[in-house]
Amino acid sequence: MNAFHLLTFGYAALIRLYPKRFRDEFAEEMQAVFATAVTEAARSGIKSLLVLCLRELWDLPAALLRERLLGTKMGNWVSRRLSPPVRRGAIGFGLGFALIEIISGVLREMRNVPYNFGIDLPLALLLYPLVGGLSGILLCQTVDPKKRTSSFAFFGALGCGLGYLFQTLTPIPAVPIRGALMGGFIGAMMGGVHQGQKGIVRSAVVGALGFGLGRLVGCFVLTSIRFDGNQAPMLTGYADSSILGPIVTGALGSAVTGMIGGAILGAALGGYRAVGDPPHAGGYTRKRIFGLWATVALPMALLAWGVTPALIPRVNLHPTVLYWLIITLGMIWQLVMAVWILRREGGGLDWATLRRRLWLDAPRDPRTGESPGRLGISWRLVLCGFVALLSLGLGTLLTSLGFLLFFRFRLPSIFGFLLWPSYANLTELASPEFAGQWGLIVGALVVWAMGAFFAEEFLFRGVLLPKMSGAFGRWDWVANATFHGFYYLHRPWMIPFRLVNSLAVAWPARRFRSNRLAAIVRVAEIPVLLTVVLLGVTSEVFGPLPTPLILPQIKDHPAPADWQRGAMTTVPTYDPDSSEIWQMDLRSYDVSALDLRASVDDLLHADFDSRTVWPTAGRMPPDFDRERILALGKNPGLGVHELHAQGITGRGVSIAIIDQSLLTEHQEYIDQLQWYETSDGGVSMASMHGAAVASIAVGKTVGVAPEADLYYIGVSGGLEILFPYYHSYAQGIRRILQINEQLPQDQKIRVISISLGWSRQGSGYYDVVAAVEEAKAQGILVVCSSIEKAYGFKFHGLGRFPLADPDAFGAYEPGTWWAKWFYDGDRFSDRLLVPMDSRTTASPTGADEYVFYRQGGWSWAIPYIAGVYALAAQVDPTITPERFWGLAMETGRTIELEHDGKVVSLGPIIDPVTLVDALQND
Amino acid sequence: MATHPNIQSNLPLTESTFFILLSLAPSAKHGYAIMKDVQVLSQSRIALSTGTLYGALKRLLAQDWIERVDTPNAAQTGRIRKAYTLTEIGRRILSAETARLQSLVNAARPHTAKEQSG
Repeated sequence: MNAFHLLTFGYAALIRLYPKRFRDEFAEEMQAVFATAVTEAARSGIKSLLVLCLRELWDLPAALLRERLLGTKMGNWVSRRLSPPVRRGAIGFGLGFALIEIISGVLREMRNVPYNFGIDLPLALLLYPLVGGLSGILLCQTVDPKKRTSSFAFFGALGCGLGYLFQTLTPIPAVPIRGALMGGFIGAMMGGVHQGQKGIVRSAVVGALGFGLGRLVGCFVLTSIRFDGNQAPMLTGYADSSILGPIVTGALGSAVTGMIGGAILGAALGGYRAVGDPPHAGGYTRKRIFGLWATVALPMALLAWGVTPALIPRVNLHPTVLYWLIITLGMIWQLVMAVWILRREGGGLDWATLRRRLWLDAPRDPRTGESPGRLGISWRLVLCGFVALLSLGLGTLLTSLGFLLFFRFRLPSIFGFLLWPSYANLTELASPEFAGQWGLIVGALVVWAMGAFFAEEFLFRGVLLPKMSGAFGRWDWVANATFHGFYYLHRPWMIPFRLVNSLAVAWPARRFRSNRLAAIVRVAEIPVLLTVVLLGVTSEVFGPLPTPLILPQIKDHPAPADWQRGAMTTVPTYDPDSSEIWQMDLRSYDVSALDLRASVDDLLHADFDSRTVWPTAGRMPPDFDRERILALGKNPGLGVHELHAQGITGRGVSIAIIDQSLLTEHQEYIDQLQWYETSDGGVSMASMHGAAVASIAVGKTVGVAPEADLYYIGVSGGLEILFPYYHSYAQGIRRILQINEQLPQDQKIRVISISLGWSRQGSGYYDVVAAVEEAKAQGILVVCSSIEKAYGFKFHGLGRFPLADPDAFGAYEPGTWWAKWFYDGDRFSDRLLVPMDSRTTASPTGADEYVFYRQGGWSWAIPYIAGVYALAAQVDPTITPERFWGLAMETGRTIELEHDGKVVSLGPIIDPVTLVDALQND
Repeated sequence: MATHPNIQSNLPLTESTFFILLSLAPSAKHGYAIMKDVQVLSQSRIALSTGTLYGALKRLLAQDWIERVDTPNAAQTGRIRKAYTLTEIGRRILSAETARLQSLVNAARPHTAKEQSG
């Protein structure tokens, strides 16, 4: 077969990709034309032949897409937008980047180099310029009337090569920013050759945005198809642990980057030829507005992200206070800028001129130009005001939603750097550190007023908005709000909020030629600020510790809980497919009027307590033995009672718990309780949580370590209603450490149990993390939901059928709330498993009352682990958290479960008896 | 298939469409001849691939701007060669587009002449 036949054969194969109707009509003709073209081109030489074939190949995808989608709405939309430069940019860079990934991937495979090792620099410096050069040639054909092919090839290659080099050398780990850096170079070079000096900057910006966006979408797409559920090392690339093979994933990610970036760059380069800036009617040009925005927004970002962290270790001020002070400098700079602009405009700075220039007059009717009454009120204005106020709520909602999505789609792994640093978190001002510092309120108000009125509103609404219609026409208010929103580079999480709010005030400001409404709405933000600062200023702190310590010391006695639930009138049911908790919550209900004979399956999923009033035996199912369920639930299980019988009860070891208010008189732990204190003077009613965790750890009959001493710090839980608040827990840990200093050597607190985890979005995150580190430094184990972050330890809680024997390992199963994922394939063997579901604990309703929780959470697993640690510390006082965890994992038992005809392993389940044996024999 | 009550609503044409219609203006042509002609007429700025060409021809046929005719030499060579020619609508659209472009040039000329002389 000669070259001619090979080409025509290949072409015939490619034509098969067209829709059948199209093929029936044109295939034969197309093949004939192609054959003629090949013959003609071959006569002119190999170069012409190559150009012909390349042209066919480059145009093929778009032609196919067009024919396949033609006639559909989407097809028409796509074809309108797929202008030749867009197409060629997308194909050139998309295909090119993907090929680079494939070539380097295959080479790595051949040399057995692990995937994330990255492409070799010499190879990259060969391939990237090649792709850049070829893409340059492709783009040149459609955007440059002078057809300076060699210049486009050279500068395309240079841009791509330099871009790759700089993205590799940059210390910034975030992939989209590296993509943007590369795109910036490509854009700058292509724009430069296309448009000269003028094109460099704007094409660099377009290129950076395009390729940055492309890389982001690439990461997003490939992150969302990941399957392992871990927070990904997305900072380093696409491929690691995707369900696709690393080469395919890498190629796909690179193709997406190149296609989006190339399309956007192509569209921009194609657009520059024909489109100029719209005329500016008197106001500022777009360039000037953008410049002004950059002049104020960039210094603020620099102050917040660069200057503040650099100064925090050097200045003896609370980081948040320091941050606000430094930010104020940026605001003063804005004020200076605004005044300077007004002076340059030459309109004078007298009040009358300023009122007119900054739209400070009363609102005027847009049609008549008249002020609608002395107070400037009309129904339209009231409506606008209402919408603007509403926007504060909507903005907050959007920001929260943004955060939810941010975490749902695991974006922190790409954009973690955007999460607020603790010092920039306004709620840090609600810290007990500021207790009694009333001056802070005045300071906060001054800083707020400075920022709101003399910086932002003055510049964006006063100086800019009246001058934006020339550049943005009737969309000036949208542009104004956008510039204002994105001014918040120093607090990016505020951008959605400010954008929404700004849209709602910019529109009426423009329509009624008055900024008064914007100012009024701004004032409505004060209560939030005051609430946060007041929370800090008025927060309670622990007093000095008495010396010597007299034990026990119970400083508060919360009243028993009384839920007054009354009678239940309908028979509750349990839906196993629902993830809703408390479906069968019968605690303290009077269900005596119900006939429950047919409800045995539902009842076996019920939570109930000593106060649940049951129907007579005749209306109860005989198989539901609630006394037995209660009794079995009290047993900590897994042979713990066997250890108790040997005298291993936690005697001589102290456990601390920081949790919600405690019913201090409960018989389960009253004798163990050595300390009960709250930082806020106590709350009136005992919580359900406190009694449960205390009894699971040290309860006489329920507990794992029934003779361990208990030190309990009560946290009211009040602030958590407003936002995640961890300062109380940090305070609690430090109080425990303070107490521990005074305890004799043989009564030291060895473990702190906190049934809570912390995330960076909460106030006091760094405070509580630091407090945990302080406890660790003293050799104390802090068991909490964030134990993995603190120690690298992982655990999970087990389920159990309520009538199964808690001492039998085979009675356990995955915990109710995670069983579905487990059976669906999310298995693990690196977590220490402890009892969690079907536990009977002390009830907060009375000193001798109990409650059975059919479904538990990590909250119940955490004090269990603390209890086992106390047993271990009694047997071996030299035990360390690391040794304990290692031994517990090692001695834990793995059981086999049968589910849907398959046998699955579950383990390691903590085996306290073997663990203690191992410690004794060590 | 499609009818064209208003010629103006179809304007402006894309460059490819304009040159394809232009190449068919003097006489009917087959695919390869159109490809070559477009390249010459556009001074090599536009080089159509077969996919783009036949995609465009398909749309022009559907819009009744062009139609298929028997090629003059088909009988002699014995090969199946379809040719395309402008319909009346196609011809009117081409004229309208040419007039539109001409008016643009007329409008621009005095200004560009001034710039050049000043």
